[in-house]
This record gives sequence, C-alpha cells and structure tokens, in this order.
Amino acid sequence: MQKLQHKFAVLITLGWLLTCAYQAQACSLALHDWKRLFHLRLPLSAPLTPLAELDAILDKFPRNSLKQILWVANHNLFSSFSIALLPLLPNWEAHLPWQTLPTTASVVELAKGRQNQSEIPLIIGADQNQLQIALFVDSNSSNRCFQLVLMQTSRIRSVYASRQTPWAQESRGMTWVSLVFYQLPLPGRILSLAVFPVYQTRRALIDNHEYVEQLLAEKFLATRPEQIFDPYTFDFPDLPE
Amino acid sequence: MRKLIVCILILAGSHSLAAQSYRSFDLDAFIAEHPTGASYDPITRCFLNSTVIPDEIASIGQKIMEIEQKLSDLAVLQRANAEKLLEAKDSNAEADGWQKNLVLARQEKDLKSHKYELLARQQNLQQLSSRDSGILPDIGNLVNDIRARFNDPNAIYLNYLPATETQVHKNWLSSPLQIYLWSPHERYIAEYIENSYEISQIFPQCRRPVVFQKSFEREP
Repeated sequence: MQKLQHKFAVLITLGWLLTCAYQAQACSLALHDWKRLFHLRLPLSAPLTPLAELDAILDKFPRNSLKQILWVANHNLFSSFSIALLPLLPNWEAHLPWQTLPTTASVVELAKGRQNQSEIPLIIGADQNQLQIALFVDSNSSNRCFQLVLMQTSRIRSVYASRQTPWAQESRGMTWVSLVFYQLPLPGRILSLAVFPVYQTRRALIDNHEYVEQLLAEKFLATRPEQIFDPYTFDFPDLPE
Repeated sequence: MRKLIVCILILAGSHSLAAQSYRSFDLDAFIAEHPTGASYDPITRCFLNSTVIPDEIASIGQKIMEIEQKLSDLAVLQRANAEKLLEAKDSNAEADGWQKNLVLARQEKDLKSHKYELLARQQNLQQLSSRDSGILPDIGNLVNDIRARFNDPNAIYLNYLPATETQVHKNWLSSPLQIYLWSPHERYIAEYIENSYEISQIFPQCRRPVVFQKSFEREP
C-alpha cells in the first residue's frame, strides 16, 4: 500500500513538472544540452521487460541450438505479460518459448535440476532489479525540450547446463526507454521515442524529423553544427550510481 | 693598450651572438634522392612500390588472428569455469565460480573490444589505400627521415623547405623568414622558428598541401 502511494506521488510530481514545463517554453532534437531535472530510483521485484536478458545471450549460442528459455525472477504482472511481446523482436532467441519461473533457488541449482532433461533449457535469472526515472531538460532550447528516461537495471545470471558445452555468464543488464518531446508528451509534440537494447543498439520507434526541422526553422531548438557528429547525441547523460 | 681592451670587450660581447650555428639543408635534393620521394608517381598520385599500407594491414591481420586465438583459449577456460560452477556443492563455491566468471567475461570483453578496434583500423586502411590520402603514411616516414638528418639540436637549419623562387620585394615582406632573408638578423629567424608552421606542397600533384609543425612530435 505504501509502495502504491509512493508511485502515485511520483506520477503526480511528474505531471506537475510537465505542466510547469508547458508554462515555461518549448524544445527539440538537434544539439541538446541535457540537464537533469528529476531523478528517482525504485526497487523492482522483477524486470519489466526481458530486453536486457535477450541482449545478454545475443550471439552466444548457435542458431536454433536452444529449445526453451526459463526466465527466473520474482515475477509480477508486468514481467509475466512482457514476454508476450517477444515475438515482435527480430532475434531468433526471442522466438523460443519463454517461461517465467519464480525464484525458488539459485539459477545454478535450478540448472542442475534440469541437467538430465532431454532438451536442456537455458536458465536466465534476474535479480537486484531497479527502475530509474529521470527527466532531463535541454538548456540549448531555453528549457523547452524534455527527455523522459525510464531505465531498468539488473544483475543477470544465465546458465546452460549442457554436459558437452556447459555455459554460464553473469552480466549487468540495462534497458531504457527515452521519450524526447517538446513542452508536452502528447502526440504531435514527440520528437523521438527510442528503446535500448535491440540488437545491442538503440532503436528509434518514433523519429519525427519534420517536426524537428520545423522547430529548428522557428529557432526553438539549437541547430547542431555539421562538424559535430556524435553517434550518442541522442542519448542522455549518465544517471547517478 | 686601451684599444686592445676595447677589442677584447667587443669580442667577449659578441660571443653569445656567434653561438647560434646555422646549417643549410637541401630538401629538394633530399626528396629527389630518397627512395620513397624518388618513387612518387604524379599520375597515379602514389609512391610506386610502397608497402607501408599493405604491411600495416597485414600486421593488423596478424594481431587479429592472435586475439582470435586468445578468445578461443578463453572460451575453453569459460567452459571449464561453467562446468565447475555446475558442480558447486555450496553457495560459497557458487559465489567463487561467479566471481571467476566475471573476471573471464571482463577479459573477453577487453579482447573483443580490441579486436573490433583493429578491424575498424584495418577497414580504414583498406579504404585509405584507394585514396589520395593513402600516401600520407609514406610521407610520414619521409618526414621522419628528414627530421633524422637534423642531428644538431641547437642549429638552425635553413632551406628546411624548398626555397621559393619568387623574388619578394622589400615592401611585400610579410613573414619573419622573408624579413630574415632580406635582413639577416638573428631575432628574425628566431621569431620565425618559434612561430612558423612549415607548409609546403612538397608533391605538387597532391590535392592538399602537406602541413606539419616543426615543434610537433607525432605520437608513435
């Protein structure tokens, strides 16, 4: 109950910030100078999406050598439903049957228990999950452009208990969604919506170049000089540890 | 006697002025006689028989192969570590296994990152070899050979660059070097040495001039 109240407070704060932003002025892509306005860290029982887990095993196994993936975490409604979105991704590993399992033992113990199965599953466990919410403002656009970032981090331990080719890996998983908008996060005001990682890179779901060009023409945004090209221009500054 | 003392004083005073030694160097002749310089072909805009880029590409290829071998050795260690992890009897042994796993993963990451760096460099060189700028490594070597000839660190070498044949009128003197050539006072040449960039189109067929600063030492 207390957690729910906390989340509700966060939502109200965000809404308030966005309303204030509208009263301030407008923003864009172009050459941004992101300043952090707001940052919040929330513990999660399970990851909201398995994108980082998918990324952790990318190209680690020969194509179609796996038959099933067991995703171990203290799952909640979000995580259980999120695996339904996996078939939309291009990776072959995403098209395997994914099954959610509660954390009843370590991934090593779970893997040992399934070592004698005819088709050994790949076991991926996610713990130490956190969700970070951050709002950045672009000072190059007179505080008119905003970037809302939802970042999920977790410790991912994967084990494949094959007797011939045993495999284990621990990694830090990171998934983020970034929404860049002008004044308000409304359709028509969105400059870009991007997700990371899809094939280990940032994938833009929305990239509204026309709108950006319009804002640049009206000088609401700072034009990026041609010689400044940084592939990470669209990303955001590091969030605090 | 008084005259003798005055003479001695004048000579003593002029000693510091005479300390600076000047040497001449014929860059045109050096380039013409240098094996690299002499092999420049203005039509193809490259040094004939140059092996700088192919040699570097081959050397990078060798390094990539070595990294791949290391990665393959590392994969054996990682498999052994995974096997040991699956045989862990308690949580401490499991934690040790994961710790080792992280160390090996870090090594793998470093090796892969180095490999990708080398692959990118190899690709750049392959692209460079088909462009005008492909001659730059050869020019770099040539410049190093030229620098090596300047073995007296205190001397001022004149004709460091090919001398211009244009006669400049006194009224049009614009640089300390030209002023020095007109009126050879040490301070002019010192000013020139301090401030000038040596700029020359050593190879007239190059699209861009070859530019380097004497005081600038390229990182190896």
